[in-house]
Amino acid sequence: MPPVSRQEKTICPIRGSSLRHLDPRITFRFDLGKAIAITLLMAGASGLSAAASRGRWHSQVLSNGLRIFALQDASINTATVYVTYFVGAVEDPHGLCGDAHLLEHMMFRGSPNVASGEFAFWIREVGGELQGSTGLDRSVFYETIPSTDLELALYLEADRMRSLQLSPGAFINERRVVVSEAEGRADSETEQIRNVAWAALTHTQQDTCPAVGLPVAIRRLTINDVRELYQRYYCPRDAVVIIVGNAEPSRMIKLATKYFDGIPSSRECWRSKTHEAPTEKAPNTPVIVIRSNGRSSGIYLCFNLGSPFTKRWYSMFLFGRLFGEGTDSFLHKLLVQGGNWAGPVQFSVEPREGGAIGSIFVGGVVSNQLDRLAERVVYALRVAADTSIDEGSLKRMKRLTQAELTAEWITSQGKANMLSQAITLYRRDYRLDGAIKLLREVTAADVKSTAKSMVAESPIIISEDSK
Amino acid sequence: MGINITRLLAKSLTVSILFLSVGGLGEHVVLAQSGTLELRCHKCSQLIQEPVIRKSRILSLANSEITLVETSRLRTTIQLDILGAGPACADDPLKAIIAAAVVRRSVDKSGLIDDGATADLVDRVAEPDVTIVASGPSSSSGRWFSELEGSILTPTIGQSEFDTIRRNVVTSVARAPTRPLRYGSLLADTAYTPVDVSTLIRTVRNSASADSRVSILKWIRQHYRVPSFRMAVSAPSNSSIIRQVVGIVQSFDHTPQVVVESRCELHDQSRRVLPSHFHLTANTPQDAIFIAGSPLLMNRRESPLLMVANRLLGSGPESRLRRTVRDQRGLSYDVRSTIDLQASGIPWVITASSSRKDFLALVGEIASQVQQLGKQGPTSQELSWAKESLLNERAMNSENPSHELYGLLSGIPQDETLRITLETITCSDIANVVSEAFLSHCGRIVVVGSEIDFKLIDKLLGPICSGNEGNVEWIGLGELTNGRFDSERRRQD
Repeated sequence: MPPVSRQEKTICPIRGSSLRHLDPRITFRFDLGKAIAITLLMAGASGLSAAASRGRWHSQVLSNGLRIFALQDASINTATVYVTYFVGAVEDPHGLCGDAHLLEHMMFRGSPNVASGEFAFWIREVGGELQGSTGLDRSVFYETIPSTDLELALYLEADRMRSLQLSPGAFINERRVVVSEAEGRADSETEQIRNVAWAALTHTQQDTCPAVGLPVAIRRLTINDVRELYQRYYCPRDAVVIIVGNAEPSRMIKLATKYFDGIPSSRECWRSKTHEAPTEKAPNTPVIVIRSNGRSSGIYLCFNLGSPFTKRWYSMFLFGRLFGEGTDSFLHKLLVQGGNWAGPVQFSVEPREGGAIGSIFVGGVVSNQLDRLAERVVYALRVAADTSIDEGSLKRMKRLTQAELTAEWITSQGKANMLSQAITLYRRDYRLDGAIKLLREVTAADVKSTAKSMVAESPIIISEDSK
Repeated sequence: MGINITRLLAKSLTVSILFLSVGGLGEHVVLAQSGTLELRCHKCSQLIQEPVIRKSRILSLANSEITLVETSRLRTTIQLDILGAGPACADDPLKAIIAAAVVRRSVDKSGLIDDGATADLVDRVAEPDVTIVASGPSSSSGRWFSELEGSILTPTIGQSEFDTIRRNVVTSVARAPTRPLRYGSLLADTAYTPVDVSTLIRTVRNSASADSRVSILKWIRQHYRVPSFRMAVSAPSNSSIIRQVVGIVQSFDHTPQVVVESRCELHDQSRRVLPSHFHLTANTPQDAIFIAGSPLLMNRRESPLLMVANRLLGSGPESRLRRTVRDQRGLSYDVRSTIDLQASGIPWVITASSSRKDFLALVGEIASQVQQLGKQGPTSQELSWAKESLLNERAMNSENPSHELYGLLSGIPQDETLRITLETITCSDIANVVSEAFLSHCGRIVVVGSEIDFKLIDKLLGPICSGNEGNVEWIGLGELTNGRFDSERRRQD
């Protein structure tokens, strides 16, 4: 067994250097909301750059179009680098469902400077953790490392953005791995259902290709398919880098500039989407998807939470939890009391470009009872709209939500995740204190109003048969 | 409400207190007085000055252990392991699961529970303990700590709420076979416990438990009050929780006493009772194998050795299994080894799944890698890398309270002791511990899929698990969509 793969020629170029040697001069003071808007507006304009801060925040657009945001947190000792590329399953060419996902895997398979497997090796050696994931409309990579090793993560991310190596041998192995992942992923059916529901909620056409891909399609992918996607989307002009760590933001930006600024944005590279900020008021018509086959048989009640980090968003969120989260939920109690049924009731929220989809899954029934269950879910929604919200339950749910928001904000990784969502999906700032303030302001009347608005129109019912 | 957990437990026994002494004695001994928790930055001679942890100390109260981590955080987090209250230690595992669900519900009402640790109770049927993690703002920690202890020790629950919980647990147990991979994992985990999950499910299927609310509440009073727990608290130095706990402990006799972990003895029973091979015949998209190593009867002080060994075997992208099975051969996306340092018997399980056509190659490659590590050990370069990576990871985890508390309760030192311990670990130590777990006799082999030839699997495994001969049990799971269970069940010796 050979030792851990390390090429002798690959010497991490930043060993021994330190952030403290960097020049901390860049500081500008803008309104953050405006800064983000301006930064995003200017994203495609080569040669232009902007920088902004409001106390903690700095952002800058490099000459190649890459947008960098940096946040200092003196209470932590780790740093997280979060890179978002705006390519996901919707960009998969027709019949090649899984192209973006396979490319995400290939990003760990080396470059001329970093051998296959070394990316993880370097990060894990300093105690860090790393992850890549592919969604419907984006691919995300992050590394969490000690703040003192920030430069290592920036170097590695810039290196693979600049010069990914797609070797045939590694490609064939990784394609098998991705096929294996797609075969084993039970949640891809759920994702497809959400895609269908989201299309109905937003009145858009939506390809239902799951982000993980379909095994039969992945097997057909060639190295050229992956290369084409890489050249078109994995370039500075179509990426956002977010850095959270215990260092001066200006230093973090300068360090990122050092590694990312020289990466060219090729002619093929351009963003395919408009990236408009979501509207404040999303349509309230819920969608019910009946899944009558496969591993995820059941009823999915889906609704659009609309523009996030607003009072309305938190009202919708709290309603979703109270109505359909677990055995304590309104829906579960109503269904259990109404018959001998005790299947799972699960509420989840998935951020999406233009809003967020809340979905409540009700399962545990055989196929021929699904229509009846759907009727009962609609009935429950109507009853909920006419029932007063229990103040005690609402208070408890607000406390729980606040605890979760706070827990997420403790680590650099959690912060980077929240900020990434806020910036790349919603063109907004996110502040924990602001979120908690809005959450606390939500009253039982707000939640009830949400319920009423959801039953104002009949739900759209879609039957999905996976046969 | 308002009763301090340590006081309540202490009252029920004649208690004496020992402050574990390392390096000196006082009213309480500081184990890691780490104004600066010195942890290396890789080879760059820098030190991470960890400002979060100020000091930690371990207090003992009869059979219980309390670890206090004083931090500068604004949030207080508690992990409480109630030893021996889990289903694996109970005469009636279903009763223990329902009891845990009732306690969880009770705690959940406080709005503080982090349900990551207590979710999926059915999947925790192999657990000897019940774990509860809660966190909340430090400013009101005294108040919610009282609420928390009240809801654990004396849960209040109405009849209709109890019926809902009970029905939900029973349904979940009965439906477990509809998730073959989870079920396979459960069978592997129960290699370390006397719980026969198949029997449990059949019992539930055939006659739902008749346990009443009164009997469950009585059970909770009996099992959750026994003063055998481990608790870790991460809170600011001036927190009322810290003051409460320290004050209570100080008020008792300081006579040293050996700490005894009153756990049920699990591993020996499991070997006698249960078969060593399971085959779940299920129509799954992929075939899967779970190899539960032989139970390791090790002291918690040996946690660092096991963590390093697991890191080298299959716990990360640089491990042997990941590099060979996944990166070099592309046989499986999901291949890994996991180790639970908190559980008795230290479950160490290798898991992998692949498409049907790759499955035999997958089994052969796993066997080859495990054999190589068990016989030859890691290279010195690998070992040195694993140690450094672990040390650095611990420094990173100190930022995340739940990771930090898990580490503490797993017996992983958080100070310079960790580095000293790691330095003593040799390549032979790694080979020995892998060999002990996986060469010769294993705890159990579980295969999920259809058309599996177990004799061929045995042959491919070769020298690993060579003591596990015959004694195969087949469980037919029927169709996944209707959850029909027990279409066939037979044993072959």
